[in-house]
Amino acid sequence: MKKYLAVTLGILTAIGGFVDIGDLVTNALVGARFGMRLAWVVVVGVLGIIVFAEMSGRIAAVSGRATFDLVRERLGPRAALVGLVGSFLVTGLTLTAELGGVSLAVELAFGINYLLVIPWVMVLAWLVVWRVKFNTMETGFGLLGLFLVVFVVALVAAAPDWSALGAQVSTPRPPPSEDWPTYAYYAIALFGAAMTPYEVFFFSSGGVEEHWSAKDLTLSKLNVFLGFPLGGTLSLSIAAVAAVTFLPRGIQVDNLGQTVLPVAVYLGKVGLALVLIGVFAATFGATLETLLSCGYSVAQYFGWQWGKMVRPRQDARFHTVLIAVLVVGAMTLLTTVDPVKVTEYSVVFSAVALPLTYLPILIVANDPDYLGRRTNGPFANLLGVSYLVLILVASLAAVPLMIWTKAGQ
Amino acid sequence: MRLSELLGREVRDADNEYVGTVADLVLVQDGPLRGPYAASLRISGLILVERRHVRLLGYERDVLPVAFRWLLKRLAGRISYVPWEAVDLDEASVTLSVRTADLVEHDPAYRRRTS
Amino acid sequence: MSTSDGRPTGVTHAGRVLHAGLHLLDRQIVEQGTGRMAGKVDDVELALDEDVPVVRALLTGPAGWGPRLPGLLGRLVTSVHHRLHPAEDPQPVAIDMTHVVDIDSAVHVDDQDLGDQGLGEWLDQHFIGRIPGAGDATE
Repeated sequence: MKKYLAVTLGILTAIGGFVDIGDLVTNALVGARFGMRLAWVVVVGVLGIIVFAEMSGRIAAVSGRATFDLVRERLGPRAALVGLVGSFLVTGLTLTAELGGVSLAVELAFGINYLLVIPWVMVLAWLVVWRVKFNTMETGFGLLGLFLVVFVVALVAAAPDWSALGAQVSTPRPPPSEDWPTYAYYAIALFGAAMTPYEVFFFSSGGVEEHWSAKDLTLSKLNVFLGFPLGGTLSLSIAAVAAVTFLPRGIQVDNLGQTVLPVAVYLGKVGLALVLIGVFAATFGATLETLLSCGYSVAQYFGWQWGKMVRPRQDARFHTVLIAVLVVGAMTLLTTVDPVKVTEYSVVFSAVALPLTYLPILIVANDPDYLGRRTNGPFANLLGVSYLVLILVASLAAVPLMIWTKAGQ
Repeated sequence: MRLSELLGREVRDADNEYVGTVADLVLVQDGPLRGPYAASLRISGLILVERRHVRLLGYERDVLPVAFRWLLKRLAGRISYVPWEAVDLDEASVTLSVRTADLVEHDPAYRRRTS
Repeated sequence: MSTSDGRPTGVTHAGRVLHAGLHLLDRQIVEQGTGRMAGKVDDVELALDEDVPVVRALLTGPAGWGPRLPGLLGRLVTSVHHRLHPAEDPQPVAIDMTHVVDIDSAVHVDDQDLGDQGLGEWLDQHFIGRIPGAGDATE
C-alpha cells in the first residue's frame, strides 16, 4: 500500500498547479465562454510541466539540490534575485488566494461568512507546516483532493452531446461571441497556470524532504507521469461541465459557487458534498504548496537551511518566512479583496518568473557534475528548448494582452 | 583579492588593445597541500569572452544542450584561454603579455575528449 | 598556445580541473556529516600574492553577496548589514579551503560551527525557538 501512496507528491503538486482556487474558477469561466476550444492549451501545459518537473525531480533525486538552488547558481545573484522577487510575488499572491479559496469552500458548505473563516484557515495552515510530517501532509491532501473526480462523474451524468464537445476541442479558435485577443489571453493564462514555478519548487523540494536518492528516479518519474495528467484531466472536466451547463445559456462564471453548481445539478446533494470536500482539500493543499514554496525559494536563494525535515529551531529563518507570508496573506484577504481576482494579477509576475525558473533547470539537467550519466538525452533537450521558447513567447505577450483585453473582460 | 572583483574586468593585450572581459578562472587541484583533504586549487589561467555581460552558463565546460551552445557562441564572441603566466594584474586592470592574435581559442570539448 | 588536441596549455591532468565561477561561486555549502545547509559561496578569496596562486577561502554572508548586487541595491544591503552587525567593519564569514572536503553539485565542508548564522540564531532565540514544538522533529 505504501508503495502506491508514494505518488501522492506528484498528485498534490498537480493539484496546486491545476485545480487550485484560481484554476477552479478560471476553468469553469473558460468552459462557460469558450466551451472546450481551449482544451489544447491544457494538454500543451500538462506536457510542459511534465518535461520540467521530471528534470527537476531527477536533479533533486540524484544530487539532492532543489530547484531554486540551481537558479542562483546558474544565473548569478542579480538575475536570480529578479527571479526570486517575481516568483515570490506570484507564489505569495497565490497563497493569499488559496487562503480565500479554503474559506470560500467552508462558506459554501456551512454558510459562515468567509471573512470569519480566514483566521482559522491561517492558523490551521500554520499548524500543518509546523507539526505535521511532510509525508502525512502530502498523502492526506493528495488523496482527499482526488474527490474532485466528482466533476468527471458529473460530466458523465450530464449526458452531454459528446460529439459536440469533441468538435469544440478540435476547433482552436474563439467562438463567435469572443475575439482573438481574449482567446489568446486565456490561452496564456491557462498555460502559465499549468507551468507555474511553484510547482517545480514544491516538487523538487518535496523530493528532498522525502529523502529521494538515485534509487528513487523511477518513483520520481511515476509521480510526474501520473500526477500532472490527472491534474489536467480534472481541469478539463471542470471546463467541460461548465461548457455543458452554462455555455448554451450564455451564463458567465466568476466565482466558486458557480463552479460547483453543475455538480449539484447533476448529482444532487451527495455530489455537492463530495465536491466540496474535494475543493476544500485541493485549496488547502494548494495553500500548503504555495506557502512552503515561498519558504523554499527564499531559503534556497540565500543558502539557508530549509524544510520540514529538520526541527524548526534549525531553520528558524525558513519558518519565519512562512509565518510572515501567512500573516500578510490573511491580512490582505481581510481587506475584502476578491481572492480570485488576486490570482489574475499574479499573471504579470509569472511572466518574469517563468523563464528565469525553467532555463536553469534545463541547463543543469545537462550537467554531468550534477547528474553523472543521467543527463538529458536529445529528446528531452528538444522538448525542453521548445518549451522554453514557448514560455518566452507567452511571457512577452502576457502583460500586453492583459492590458489590451482588460484581463479578459 | 575576491573572485567577484576579478570577474567581468576588462582585459587588454600586450599592445593595449581591448581583448574582452574575464569570464572565469580555470583551477587545477594540484597546488601545495593545505589541510587534510586535498591539494589546493591552483589558478591555472583565465577564460576571456569578447563581449561584455555574457554569462557562459557552463558552455566552457561543454555541458549545454546543442541549441544553447550555438546561440551562446554567437552572443559571446571569441572565447579564449590565457595561462596565468601571461596575466598581469593590478588594482583595476588586467593586462596580458601576449597579443590578441596569439590567443588560443578555448575548446570546451577538451574535457570530453581527454576523459 | 595549445597542445595538438586543443587542450589549453598550463592545464595538467594530474589534478581535477574546475572553474571558479561555475563550480564555486553561488554554490550551496553543505556540512559533510550532518548534511546541514550552511549558506552559499557568496564570494571566493584568492591568494594571488603567494608563489603558487591558489584559492584561499570561501566567503559567505551578507558582507559577501551584498557587494555583488548592482548599484544602489548593493550599497543599501551593505549599509544595512553594517548597521545591524555588532562588529565595526563586518567581514564575510571565511571558510578556509582546508575545510573543504569535496566539491560536486555542492561544496562539502567538514563539520564546524560556521556559516553565517547571525540572523538564524537571532530568530531562533527571540521568535521561533519560543513557539511550542520548535524543538521537535516531525520525522
